[in-house]
Amino acid sequence: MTPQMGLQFAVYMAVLLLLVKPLGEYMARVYEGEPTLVGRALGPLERGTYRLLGVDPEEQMGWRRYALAVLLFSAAGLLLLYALLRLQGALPFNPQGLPGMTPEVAFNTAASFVSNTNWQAYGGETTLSYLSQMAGLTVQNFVSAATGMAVLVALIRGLRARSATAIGSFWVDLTRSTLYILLPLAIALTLLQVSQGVIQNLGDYVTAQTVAGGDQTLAMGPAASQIAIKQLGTNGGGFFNVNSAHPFENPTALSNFGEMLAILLIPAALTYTFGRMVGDTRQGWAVLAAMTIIFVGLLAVTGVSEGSGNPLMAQAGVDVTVSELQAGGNLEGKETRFGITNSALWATATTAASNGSVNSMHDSYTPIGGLVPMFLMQLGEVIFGGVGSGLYGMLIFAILAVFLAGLMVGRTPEYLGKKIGPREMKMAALVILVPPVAVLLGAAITVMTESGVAGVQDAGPHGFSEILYAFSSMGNNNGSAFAGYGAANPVPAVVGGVAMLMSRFWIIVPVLAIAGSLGAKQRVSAGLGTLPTHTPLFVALLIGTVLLVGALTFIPSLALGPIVEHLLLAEGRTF
Amino acid sequence: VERAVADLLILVLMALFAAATYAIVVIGERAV
Repeated sequence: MTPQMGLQFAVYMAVLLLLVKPLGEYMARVYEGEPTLVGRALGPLERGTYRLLGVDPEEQMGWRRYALAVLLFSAAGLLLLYALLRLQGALPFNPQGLPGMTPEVAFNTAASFVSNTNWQAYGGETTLSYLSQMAGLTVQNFVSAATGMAVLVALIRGLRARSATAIGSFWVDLTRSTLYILLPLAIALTLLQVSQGVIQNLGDYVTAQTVAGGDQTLAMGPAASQIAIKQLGTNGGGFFNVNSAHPFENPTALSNFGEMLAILLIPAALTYTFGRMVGDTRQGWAVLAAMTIIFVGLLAVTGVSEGSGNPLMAQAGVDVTVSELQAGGNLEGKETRFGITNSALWATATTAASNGSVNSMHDSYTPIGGLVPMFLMQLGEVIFGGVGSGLYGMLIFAILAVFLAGLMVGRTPEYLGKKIGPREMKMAALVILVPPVAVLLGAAITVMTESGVAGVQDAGPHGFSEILYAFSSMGNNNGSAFAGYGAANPVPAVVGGVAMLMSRFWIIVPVLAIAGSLGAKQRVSAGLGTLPTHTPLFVALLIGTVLLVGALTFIPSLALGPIVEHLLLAEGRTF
Repeated sequence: VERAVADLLILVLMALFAAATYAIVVIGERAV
């Protein structure tokens, strides 16, 4: 790792961690209903929303009612988005006259955006009208993110409650997350992106003459407003097909830094919100420490691997060393304006969070450089993870960690003063097992079908990596692609759509069940045998649990893809 | 016609998924 790479990584982490406390404190105030400046300005809008929709903001829901509200809201979103995508050809704001999507791709896309995955089996500028982008995808970018945040807040209420069956109101949590957190941050980031040259218009596509004398069509559209929320909401779906590698989507170093920061900003800050809401900020810092340690470790692996480049190039006499004259390393599939450092940092951040936007093509990474993003997704999107979903996933791992510690010493495990019983463990097991089932079964079905393997671009283990990456992405609600794999064929489109819905909603339900179950329990005082969950020992236990579960589940499949590809590379074979 | 059948199949798939999800809510309630 060069000093410049290390310095840029350090600056990014420093800015991110400095923002955790102020934003985390603000979000806690929003969810606790405490006064804030934004709240005073937008309060009438919040109250008007409740009146318009007939919502009683004082209603307190049990976990089952909360879960049904989440499911009904998401089901309505899924149907509306599917209809919009199918009928866009007959609807306005479609200057290019683009036809409706095919049924299987419309289903895949609707499932993708409702589940906060934002996997894209289509190219934005060649497939979607402006109406579909604005009223369909951007709206889901906001509300699917807000849904994840609402579920997290419900779980936190369950953890801190003293024998209460209610875990809050989904409609209030959804409205506050959107209005007070996502919307102001999205407006600020949109303005920053526009100042850097990101486009925001409703005009026709422009035909420009190239230097060589040919014609080139330049896609236009309301990109900036969608890009801001795609990053803040850990959605990741690009306005254009090449996502944030496109110069109209991410033109400068500053726009790149702003977008990268937005990827991890809310998931990181929510750890402080969690600590503040349970009355012990040390709990939040401990979870943040576990996330940060895994993230930095894997970031270094990607950075070093990409910085070292392809050894076969060096053997062929190509100078791949980093110097003042060249970037060196593996620059294939990367934008020269971002270089290896900011590509590796983005790739790691976007897969640690369940974001999925890209500023370089992961398919072109070295085998180990490509393994890291894949493994980060396979860990269950809990290393920062999605907004809300990352932290509720990590809290389930914390429950598993205290359970394992309890087994070691023969005591009933406790987390935050709540006894963890068989019921909670059954639900936690479901949360942890659903994504691997979606990933491994989805990939298995795909490699066994003609339609599934038809979209593979490369031969051998790299081709398998493309499929495994696609399902690791869809099955963990990430959404990034390995770039070489086309998933618009019927089998991967439909199987992938189901995988995305499973790994979103079949996790949310048991998480809310845990919230309801723990909320109803009395809090017990910490005793001599209680495992403190804010210490370095617990951080190490949590890291070990996350890595162990991920490694045991996915190393066999990784061995067939990037690991064998890396070993064959050393023997001079490449794919 | 082919597209209409595909639309119908997708809607059936969504309904099946919704039913399975509701079943998890019921199972979860019994467990809790």
